Amino acid sequence: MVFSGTAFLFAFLPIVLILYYLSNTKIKNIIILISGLFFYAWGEPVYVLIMLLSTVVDYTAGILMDKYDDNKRLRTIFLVSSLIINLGLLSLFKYSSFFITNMNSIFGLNIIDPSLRLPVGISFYTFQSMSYTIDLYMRNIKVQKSIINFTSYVSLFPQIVAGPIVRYSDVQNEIDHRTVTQAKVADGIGWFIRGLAKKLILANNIGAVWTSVKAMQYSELSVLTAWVGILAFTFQIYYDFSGYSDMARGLGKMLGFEFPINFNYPYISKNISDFWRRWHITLGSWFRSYVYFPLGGNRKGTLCTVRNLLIVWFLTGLWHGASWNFVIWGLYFGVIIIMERLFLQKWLSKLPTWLQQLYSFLLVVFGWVLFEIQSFSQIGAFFGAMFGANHTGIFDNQGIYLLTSNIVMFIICFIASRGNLTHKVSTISDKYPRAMSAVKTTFLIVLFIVCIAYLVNASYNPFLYFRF
Amino acid sequence: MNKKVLIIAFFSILILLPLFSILLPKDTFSQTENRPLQQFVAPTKENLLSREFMDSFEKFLADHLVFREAFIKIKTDLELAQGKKEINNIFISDKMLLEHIQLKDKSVVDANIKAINDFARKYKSTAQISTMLVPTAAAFYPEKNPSRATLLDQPEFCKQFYNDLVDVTAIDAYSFLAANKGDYLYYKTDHHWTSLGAYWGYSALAKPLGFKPIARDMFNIEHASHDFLGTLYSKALYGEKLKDVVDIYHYADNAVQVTETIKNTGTQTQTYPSILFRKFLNEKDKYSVFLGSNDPMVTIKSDLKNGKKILIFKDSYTNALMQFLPLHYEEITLLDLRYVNKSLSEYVDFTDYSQILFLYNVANIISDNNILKIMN
Repeated sequence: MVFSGTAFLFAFLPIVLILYYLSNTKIKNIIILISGLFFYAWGEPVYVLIMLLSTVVDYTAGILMDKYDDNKRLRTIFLVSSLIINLGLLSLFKYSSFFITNMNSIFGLNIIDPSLRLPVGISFYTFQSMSYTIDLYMRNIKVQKSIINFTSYVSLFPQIVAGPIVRYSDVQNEIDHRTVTQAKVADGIGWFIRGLAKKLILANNIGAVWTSVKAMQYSELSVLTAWVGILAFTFQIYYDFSGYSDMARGLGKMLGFEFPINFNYPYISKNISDFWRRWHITLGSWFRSYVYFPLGGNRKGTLCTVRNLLIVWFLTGLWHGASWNFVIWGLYFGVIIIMERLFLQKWLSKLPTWLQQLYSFLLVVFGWVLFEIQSFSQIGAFFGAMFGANHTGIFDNQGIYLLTSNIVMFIICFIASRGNLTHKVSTISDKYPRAMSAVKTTFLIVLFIVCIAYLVNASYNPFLYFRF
Repeated sequence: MNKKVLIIAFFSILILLPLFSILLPKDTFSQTENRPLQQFVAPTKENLLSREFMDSFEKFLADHLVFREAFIKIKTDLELAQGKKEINNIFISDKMLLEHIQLKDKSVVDANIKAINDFARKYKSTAQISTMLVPTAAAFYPEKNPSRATLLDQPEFCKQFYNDLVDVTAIDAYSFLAANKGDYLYYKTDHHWTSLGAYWGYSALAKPLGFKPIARDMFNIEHASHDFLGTLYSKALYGEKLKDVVDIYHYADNAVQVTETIKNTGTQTQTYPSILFRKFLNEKDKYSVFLGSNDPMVTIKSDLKNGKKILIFKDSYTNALMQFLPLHYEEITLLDLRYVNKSLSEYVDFTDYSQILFLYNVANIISDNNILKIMN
């Protein structure tokens, strides 16, 4: 099920919330568990079993680690088995085709590709439940003895299919005891409606521009058309993904959970290291905690740091999809971050802020070309178009039409991605708290109605981040 | 206080909207969208595992939401307020609505050309095979508009198409329409040509098919409806002010009259006295006044006794043309391949006809592969 679909909004959500608010504390987790499984099975009626398998494995590993608390060897064995099973499932469903195709082409083999379909959200929920066994092994958290509570953590419907990657440690207290207050619910509704608007109003509409450019012949694109297209994608992916995270956070609050923030205005970053501290924050911090630091982080000298960074960025790229362009995309950022750490940052910090932001933004936009176009020859052709290699020149009617007919959407997307407006609103709110609170409430309600209008009319409603 | 207002408003919308949608009586057909609405499908083991149940349920909720049309209009208004000129593939202006015609898949066109050529090779000894492509309104869209760049160049497309035909008479409708392009040739809110547009199409057919066209002033024009809102209106849900006039052309001296219109639904045939189905003038789709709803085969007989028979493979553009063409033929057989679901030999014997015409509008020929049925 997706948050921006009719089944979720007009059937699932009202029913689940009513039942949830009417029931007592003990039953609340059972409702979360059942609704989560239903939510997941709606999209994956068969693969829901894989999610349950991974859940049972991690739960059992946790119980066993707790039982043999003083046997270091056994604890390690339980952790490693749980990791092997989780990563094994992920590799089998996500990476086997990619691996076999490459093997066949490099060694001239004829291994048959099982062509398994990717289960929705597998990259998210395996990382989530792995955080539990690893943290338990490192003694950062306490064991969860109730299978109902543990399963309800994994299948918590707001975050199961597209993040944020909520670690067990983030919600360990709330899983057992949490309170739902009027203030939290109202706050949650705000996050949810804003997220829904980001997805339905901004991402889908600006995304339509990219969809039409993406389908064109790249050797025929003018410079303008290519830039309008890739900028449209730049905004589409941000509003799509961060909108989904905001909705998840809002729904979490409505249920009494506090999820970590996943995006913090990434497009005003001053450098690429900064960008990755603001974009998909929970993924970056997952890799930092469970890969980068265990490898030694930056404490073992420059060469080791460089190696560790390359490993982390290779994996980050690969996590986004089983294809070489994602790997290149990850390493591209890895190399930039290494350069920034070694020498670039010293120069950058001397530049005026706007120039630093432009540097970072342009590198991110180039990154999206690598990310969004899969074949390398097409990537080359698209970069060519962006830098005027085509006979169509700098401007053409096509580009002018695409830009002028979407200019308002571009301006809204640009302004909303910079956070100045939010800042302004909060300073005014401090001055006139009552008036502004009424304005905000009205705005949210109107926004919700507009979202429904867009949803009803949505002939165009794909969810980008479902591939990962 | 405001927190309470927000919570109450949010949950009211969340609960009341679906509740009313379920309780209120439901339509099975949307007139404006001209399509059946999704019905509730009961879950079964098969449709749950294949996800068909989930898909149909999502569509069911969206199709039957209360205030559905009001919501859709809100979206259209907001898009226009942003300066967008295109909604659901329809260009919007204060003069007319236009379908955005794009060539998405060249292989569809190539397959259609091959089918016509194969057919011509087989039947050229018994019949004159002709093809007329009718450009849609977008072909006459102002040259200066930047959105023009994204449109298919229809005259050029027709030229290419005709070049690839072998043993087929190519009939040029474009020049006849272009010569009169200031006139009311296409409906402002519908994707069809008007009766006047169809008249110029008929004039284009005359010389290649060997008849003398009747002059326009020999027809009495009846303004049969003044409030036609067609398919383009339905797609964009915009343009109430652009209401179209549906004209019906009557041959002045009644020298020739249609005697029978025989509609064959594939399972049964029914005979009507005229090509006009006036009850549609009171319904949403007023263009259907010509030949009524779509059927696989229609035969039109006139009181002419000249022995001339023609077979036309057609889409709905041909329906308006039937105000004129029967004035020159004893019998016209129309086959709409989109609705043909059994072997063509059960309908007609191609060797019975000395003239066979493929008559399609450009939007159809670039996107529809039903012509391939002629070789089965």
